[in-house]
Amino acid sequence: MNPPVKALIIDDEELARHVIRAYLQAYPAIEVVGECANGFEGLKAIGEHQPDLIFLDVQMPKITGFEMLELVESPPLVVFSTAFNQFAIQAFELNAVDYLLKPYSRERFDAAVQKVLQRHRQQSTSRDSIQHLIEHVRQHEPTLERVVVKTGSKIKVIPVEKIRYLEAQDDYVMLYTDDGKHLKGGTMKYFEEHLDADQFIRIHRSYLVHVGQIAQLELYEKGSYLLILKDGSKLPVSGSGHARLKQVLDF
Amino acid sequence: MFHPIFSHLRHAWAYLLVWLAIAGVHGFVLIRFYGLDFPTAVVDSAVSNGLFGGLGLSLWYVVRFVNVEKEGLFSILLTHLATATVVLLLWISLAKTLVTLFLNSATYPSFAEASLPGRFLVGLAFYLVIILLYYLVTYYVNFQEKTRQEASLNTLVRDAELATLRSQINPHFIFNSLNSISSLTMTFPEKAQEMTIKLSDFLRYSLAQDGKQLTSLAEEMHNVGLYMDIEKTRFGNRLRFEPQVEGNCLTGLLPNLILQPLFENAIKHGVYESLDQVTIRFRCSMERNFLKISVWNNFDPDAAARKGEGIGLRNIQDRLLLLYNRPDLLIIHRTEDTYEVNLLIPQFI
Repeated sequence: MNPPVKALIIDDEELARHVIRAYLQAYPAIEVVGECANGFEGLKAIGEHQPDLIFLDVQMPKITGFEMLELVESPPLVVFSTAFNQFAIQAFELNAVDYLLKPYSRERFDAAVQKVLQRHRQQSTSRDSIQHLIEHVRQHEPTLERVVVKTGSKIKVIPVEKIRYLEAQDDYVMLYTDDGKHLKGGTMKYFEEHLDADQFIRIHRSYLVHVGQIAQLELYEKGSYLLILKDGSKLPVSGSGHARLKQVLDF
Repeated sequence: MFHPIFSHLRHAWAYLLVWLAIAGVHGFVLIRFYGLDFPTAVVDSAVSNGLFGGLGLSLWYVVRFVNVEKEGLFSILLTHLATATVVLLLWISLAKTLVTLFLNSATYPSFAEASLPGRFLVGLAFYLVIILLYYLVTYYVNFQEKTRQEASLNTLVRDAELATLRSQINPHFIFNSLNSISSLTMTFPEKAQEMTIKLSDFLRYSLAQDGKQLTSLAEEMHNVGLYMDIEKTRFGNRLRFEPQVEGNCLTGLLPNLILQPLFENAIKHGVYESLDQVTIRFRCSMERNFLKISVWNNFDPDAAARKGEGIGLRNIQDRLLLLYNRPDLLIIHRTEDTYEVNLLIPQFI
């Protein structure tokens, strides 16, 4: 007999978790290894139990289901269980193993579980589909208001106002904030497109700067400038960066 | 309010034409019935009516100064009696001096003397007609303003109702509540039924709000109670609700559905974003003809604030301003980890 499928339920409402647990009782092949009431608990439990499947709510305190998934290195199969809005629904339609719109019937739930079991048997790499999902959601997201990062075992939620500047580092971006620097997966292009364009200026191929942090602009050599921030950091400014600064700061 | 004659070129022309007509009649009467020669009649008429036309313009400020709605009849009469006396004396003496200056006629002074009672009566009539017209204008403009205000108030109320409804019929509240009910049917059918009924009552109250503006605090509180019960079922221990309402408040009147957005905000910014228990306090007391309402909640200071739309609070502020004509009835106290909205609702007793 195959080992049971390990499932984790992550939802901030107890009654919502009950529904899933109750529906899952019909599946002896699936073992519920834990219930979590928020993304932090969820991350911890995922690390601890290495589940094959998670049932995940989107709107939860502190960090959303999406933000939590971003921090999981090899995501298991994910079934969203949410009452959330249309754009998310479209995203799920494209990529998730399945999405369940609250409230859902046992039949609807069974259909989702069948899909999960099928994928699990095929040992299909769910990772790609989840990566696609995250990408898709991120592309369609409105302006970023916060960024969630992981440092060691700690999870930090950084409001974008606290970011001084961002620096490109290969496939990552280094965020310089009021309390230290944090590495985050993603491209400069992504951050440039998703941070408020009135707040963050791309001054250089490798730098995005928070407008409120700018102290002064110095002529470095003929035709090249150096931007000095309030914390003393000095950043190079490219020609097009200078033009953008000029436009946003109106000088 | 602007001067009704200065503010429109058309009005100024009309005013001028009316005085020209009056002057014409006046001149005609002087020649025909008083046997004055043509030049004398023209000068007398032009000076007298020109002067009153000018004085008449300034009477507007007297009318604006004496507010019919605020001051007593006695004070109004007294003001106008004094003004009329001054205006008539000024008019008669100035007109006489000017005409004498222009004409240098031997017979005019005695004529002016003789026609004094007549001039006085005509002047009084002019005075009365002009201030009456000004009062009519004031009344008309006020009336229009009031109609416009009422119309915009109605729109606002409708918008507020719509906004309330929209926020209630959002996925977070309705569908999550229905999901809770779905869950309870399996474990506690009685509780599921209870919650279904509460949700229905709550929706019915919100949907049933017609044009009625004011409602009793008891009714609003009942609705808020339903809402909080439903949310408590969803969030369990994460939500604590502590209402504390003094008995004499229950019959107090307040604009309908004005409390709902405050509790929605407290849930949204407090409970949704916090891992720990959030307390929502509701206090109400009657203070010097004001219903003093406070909705207080604590929140997690670490939760990165998601930008609230602020529409709910702005709507409340707008409605209070239009209904009570005061901008200071909504006060917000915010600390590091608590948020309190105070409402002062005037009671007309």
